[in-house]
Amino acid sequence: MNQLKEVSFINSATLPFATIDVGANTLFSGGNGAGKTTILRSILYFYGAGRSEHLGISRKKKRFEEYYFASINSYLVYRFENENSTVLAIVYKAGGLRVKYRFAIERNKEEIKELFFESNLALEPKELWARLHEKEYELSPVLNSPKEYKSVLYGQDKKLSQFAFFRANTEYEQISKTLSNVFINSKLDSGSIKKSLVSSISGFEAIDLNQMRRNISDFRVQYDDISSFEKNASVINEAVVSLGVYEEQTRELHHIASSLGANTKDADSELSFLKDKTMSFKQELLILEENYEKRKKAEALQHDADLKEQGALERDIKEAESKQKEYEKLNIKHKLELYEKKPLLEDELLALQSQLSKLLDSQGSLSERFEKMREDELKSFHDKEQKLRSDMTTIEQKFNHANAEFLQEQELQVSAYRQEADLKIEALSTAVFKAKEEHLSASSHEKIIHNRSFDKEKIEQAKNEHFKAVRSFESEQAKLQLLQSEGQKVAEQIFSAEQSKSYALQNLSTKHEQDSQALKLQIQDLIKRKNLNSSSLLAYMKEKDFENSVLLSALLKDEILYAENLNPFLSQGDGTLLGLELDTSVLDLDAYEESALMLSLSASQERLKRMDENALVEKEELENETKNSINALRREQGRINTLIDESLRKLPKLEKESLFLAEKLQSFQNLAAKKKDEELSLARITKDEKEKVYKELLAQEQILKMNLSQELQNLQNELKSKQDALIEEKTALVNAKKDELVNIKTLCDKSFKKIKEEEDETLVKGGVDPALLKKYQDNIKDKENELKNIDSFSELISEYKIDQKRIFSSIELKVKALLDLSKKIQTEEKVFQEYVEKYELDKEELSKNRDLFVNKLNKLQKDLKEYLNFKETTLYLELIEYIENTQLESTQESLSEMINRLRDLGFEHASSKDRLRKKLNRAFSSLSLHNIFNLYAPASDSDKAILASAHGLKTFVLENKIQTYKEQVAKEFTMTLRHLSSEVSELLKAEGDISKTVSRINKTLQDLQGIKVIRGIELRYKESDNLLLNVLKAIGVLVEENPYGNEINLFSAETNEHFNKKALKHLEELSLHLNEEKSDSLSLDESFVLEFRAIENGNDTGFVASLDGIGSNGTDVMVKAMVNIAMLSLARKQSSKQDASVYFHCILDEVGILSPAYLKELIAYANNKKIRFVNGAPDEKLVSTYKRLYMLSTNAKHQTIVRKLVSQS
Amino acid sequence: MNLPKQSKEIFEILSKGNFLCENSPLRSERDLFQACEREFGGHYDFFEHIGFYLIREDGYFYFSKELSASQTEDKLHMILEYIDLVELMLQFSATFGVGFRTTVRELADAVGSNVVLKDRLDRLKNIAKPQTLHAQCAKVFEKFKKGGFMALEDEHEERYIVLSSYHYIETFLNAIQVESNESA
Repeated sequence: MNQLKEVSFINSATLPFATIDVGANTLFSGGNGAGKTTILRSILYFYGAGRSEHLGISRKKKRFEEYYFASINSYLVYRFENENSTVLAIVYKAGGLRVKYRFAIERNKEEIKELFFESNLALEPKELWARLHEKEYELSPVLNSPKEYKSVLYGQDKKLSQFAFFRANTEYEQISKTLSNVFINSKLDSGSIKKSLVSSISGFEAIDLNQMRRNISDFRVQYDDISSFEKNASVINEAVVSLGVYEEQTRELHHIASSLGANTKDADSELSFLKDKTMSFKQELLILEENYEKRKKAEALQHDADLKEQGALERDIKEAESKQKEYEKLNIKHKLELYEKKPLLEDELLALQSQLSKLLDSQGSLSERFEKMREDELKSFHDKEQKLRSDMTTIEQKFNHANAEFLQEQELQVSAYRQEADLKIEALSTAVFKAKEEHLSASSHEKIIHNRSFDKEKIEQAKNEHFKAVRSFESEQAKLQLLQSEGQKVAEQIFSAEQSKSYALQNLSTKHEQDSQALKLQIQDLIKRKNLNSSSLLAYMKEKDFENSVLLSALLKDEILYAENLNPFLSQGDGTLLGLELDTSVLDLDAYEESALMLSLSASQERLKRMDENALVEKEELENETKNSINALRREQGRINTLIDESLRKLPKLEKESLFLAEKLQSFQNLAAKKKDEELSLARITKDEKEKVYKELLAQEQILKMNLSQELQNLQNELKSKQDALIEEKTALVNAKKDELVNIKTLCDKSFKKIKEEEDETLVKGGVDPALLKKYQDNIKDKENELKNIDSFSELISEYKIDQKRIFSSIELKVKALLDLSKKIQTEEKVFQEYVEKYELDKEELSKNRDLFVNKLNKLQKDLKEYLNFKETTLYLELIEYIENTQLESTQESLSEMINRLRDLGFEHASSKDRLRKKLNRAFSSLSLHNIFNLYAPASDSDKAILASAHGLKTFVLENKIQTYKEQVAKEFTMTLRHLSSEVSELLKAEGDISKTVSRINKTLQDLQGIKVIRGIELRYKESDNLLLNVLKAIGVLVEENPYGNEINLFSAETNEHFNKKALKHLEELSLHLNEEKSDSLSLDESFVLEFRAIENGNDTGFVASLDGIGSNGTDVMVKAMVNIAMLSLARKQSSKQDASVYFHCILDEVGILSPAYLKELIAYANNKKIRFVNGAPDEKLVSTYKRLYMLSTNAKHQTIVRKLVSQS
Repeated sequence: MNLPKQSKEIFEILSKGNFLCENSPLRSERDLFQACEREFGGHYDFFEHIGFYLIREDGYFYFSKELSASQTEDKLHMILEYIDLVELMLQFSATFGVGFRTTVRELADAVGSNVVLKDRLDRLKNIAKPQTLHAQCAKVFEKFKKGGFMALEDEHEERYIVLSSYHYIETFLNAIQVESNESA
């Protein structure tokens, strides 16, 4: 008979040494922590050595090897029998956390303690092997792994087959798996059957739904991104085009900015050049004008002199001509002819006079005297006349001289005055020009101040400080809120911890009270049994030595009432109990012996004491733990309160600071505004003053010009009046002389007349013939008259002769001189005119050039002013890099034009930027934030953000990367579908296996030998209606129905359209169900429904989904246990065909929930299937059911003490 | 009538006066939009029977129904309120529109350094005045979100996206513009 007989613990777990006999149905009884599970798990290890999880040890706990093999001489020794011998399977520590295995065939049965110990000390492995050799044990090689161990144990290693437990086939793993499942799921709930069934199916792992979620989600994200991209293709292309436009404009803007920079650089040098040039032209013009003025002055002087000379000549000629005309009017030619005849007449007269004289000798002397008188008189007259004529000439000459001097003086005065006036006007014009420039400069200055920002840096700094302060205040406030909420949370936690502490304490005390109450009742019961009351039935029976007293005591136990193997029948004979006869042979009477009772009592008392201690310890621990956690929370609360206080202290400061900075900012702004106003008003005052000065100077200039003109007029008038006075004086003098001359002549005529009268009177008195004398005298008189006549104009003739000598003789020369002078004047005028013309031309040209440069200069200054204004704009700041770091050559374009172009283009550029961002926003609108293309929408309105986003998109579009993504996603689509299909097919295969296993279990359950309460059990496999599973199956079917090549064109509407549509729909549904499904995996047991049918005492439950509702609680547990046993039996059958002599152990912990009667039937059922029951239960109520009963307890060192209570053969 | 299983959810959303937008950051809402679009005819007929008119616009769906005079007035008030909000956002960025993404912090920063924006924000009606500027700005986004015109895309960053339903407000704004031009 192949079976495990014994398990020995040597320094293993909490057992220093113990040997447990498991050769029959065995129960381990003891309180919590006594060591029941430790022993049961070690038995499971014999069948299924391996990973701790498979032994029901959670990962949080110590591993099996660590717990069971603490020291070098820790051993677990399994004694089992196979067909030929008794074998020891020894598990021992091999260093670290590793264990090794060795089998030994026993020659003679020896006590394990004697074999493994030397002087109460366990041997070390080397010593043990030596001893075993010595005692002629056949030892297997050392087996290093559980796999090797199981291979030998289940007869897979043919060379070591003598050590095998039995010879199994390759399915031997099923045994350990089923045993493990029964043990791990020993609570026998409905799900555990399914779990056992599922775990018996090898090769299927639960479908990882999280992975599937991730895959589907990833795929859908990718698919959605690509679909959205395609849908928005037109908008995306528009965005790319907009980027092109924007970039083009940016380039142009930068180019213009660079050109502007280049032109601005040149503008400074050009400005100085133009200034120099303008000044040079001004200088030249000034020199030209000076030269002209000098020349003009000289020319004027010369011209005046010439004119004076000409005037004099003309006057002389005119005078000569007028005199000539006067003489001609006086018939001067005739008179001259007569005057020519005068000597003849005088001769004739002399002859007559001689004749007469002769006549008048006497008379002669008289006449001679009178003639002399006349001659004297005439001579006196001529002298006087000559003198007067000479005086008049002198007067004329003096006048002419004075007039010439006056004219010269006049010219000099006028020239000096004009020069002085010109100088004054020029000085004033310069002042006016300067004032005008100052006025313009003041206006510009005012405009600059008007457009200038004051204390910009200070305000910016104040703004930043204020902003920082506000931020600090806000963050402190947020921190405070956070702290307050944390504080609230901690307070709630404290409250909750206190509450839970009181609840836990209450629960603990209630539980403890209940447990101790139950235990006390039990103790009282046991004490009652021990200290029998004389009035009790048992005491009476003892007292009377009633032979069936023990039997009756047993009959009074509850479980007897439910026992079905007592075969009751009614009898009136002896040995009956109230007329009822029972078959008592099946009862385990030993258990009711006194000693057992005492042991139970002491065990119960010990358990009560331990329970009290444990309760106290637990309470203390709980209190400590809660206290610690509450203290920790209170500390945390204190810390948070401190932080809140700090924060509350800080907040007003920060608020105050923030307000202070806001005020500071406001004051800065006010100051800046005030300063600006002040400067602006100053600039305005300066401008007004300059304007006033300019206007005043303009007025002064006008007045000066008027005054100068007036003064010039006055001067000319004064000079003219002076000249008039000179002429009047001269005329008066000449007229006086002329009057004097007339008077002299009148006096002379009177003297002649008186002399004649005296002569005639004298002659008559002398006796001269008066007739002859008269004839002679008449002739003489005629002659004399004639001479007199001639003499009458002799003065004229003499004047004429004087004039001829003085005037007429030089007239020709003067005419010639006049002609020459006129010619000279004309020539000079012509030369001067030519000079003037040349001067005008030169001046015009110079002025033109100067004006040209002045215009250029003004334009350049205006441009530079415009540039200064432009520097204040944000556009300049944006382009500053290009403007200031330009490498371009300057162009002819003006700064203003460039700035205007820049402004226009800048405006266009900004609009383009807005358009671009709008397009990008639209383009990215449907794409997820973290899309698969790594493209992203602009995060802000900044150039950098927009361009980064747009460039990414442009590169993506231009490189047609969407195609790559499409291919990639199409591949993923194919892989996802294939993966899902493959998972589904594995699931379907496993479902088939489950169905087969269920059929086999049903077959095993058909034989219910030994079970009376259950008449029949049946399991039914049914497909699950899990929606997720159904979608997966639909996908599997779709993939199977659509055999396709290596690739699927997911994004082509032409091929596989129907398939794609359907597959995408399924994937969408799958995603929907995955979202609804909360679990992480889809295990095999969720893929089907296991239904149970049980017939209990003729009551057919029909197929029901849950084991819990089959019948009474006992029936439910019974059915579950039977199914487990059936599965174990099936596993054994599958693993070996020669199973006739192999016994296994069904290891179940906590079997107390089964009633003893059911347990007995169940054990009988299992034993029929060659399965021993090894169980654990907290009390010994089930003792009658087992052949082996071990009582477990712990000592002060927490070591497990094993006491054998019952051991039946 | 063969309607998808999401129809119930679609009705629940739209009947509360919300929108279903193509560019919602929530996958579930995008799926509902797709489902609604795929079966527009069926949905339209179905909802029409129960007194709701399913309106499909550029990238969004909503329910239209006959409104009473008071409801119309309420709606106009709501639109007027949004006009102020839109003006604020347009002042913040001229590119504000469908697909526009920004964060509360960015708006708060802009408001902090722009007196005009601050003034406009302070003059907003129906916006409570929280203690911090950030919270005040967050209220603006919440208003848009509540109206279904914006959605929170990144909770950590407080990043919002303008949804396609913003066209709904734009339509009103454009109508007002046309009206004022005509009257002018």
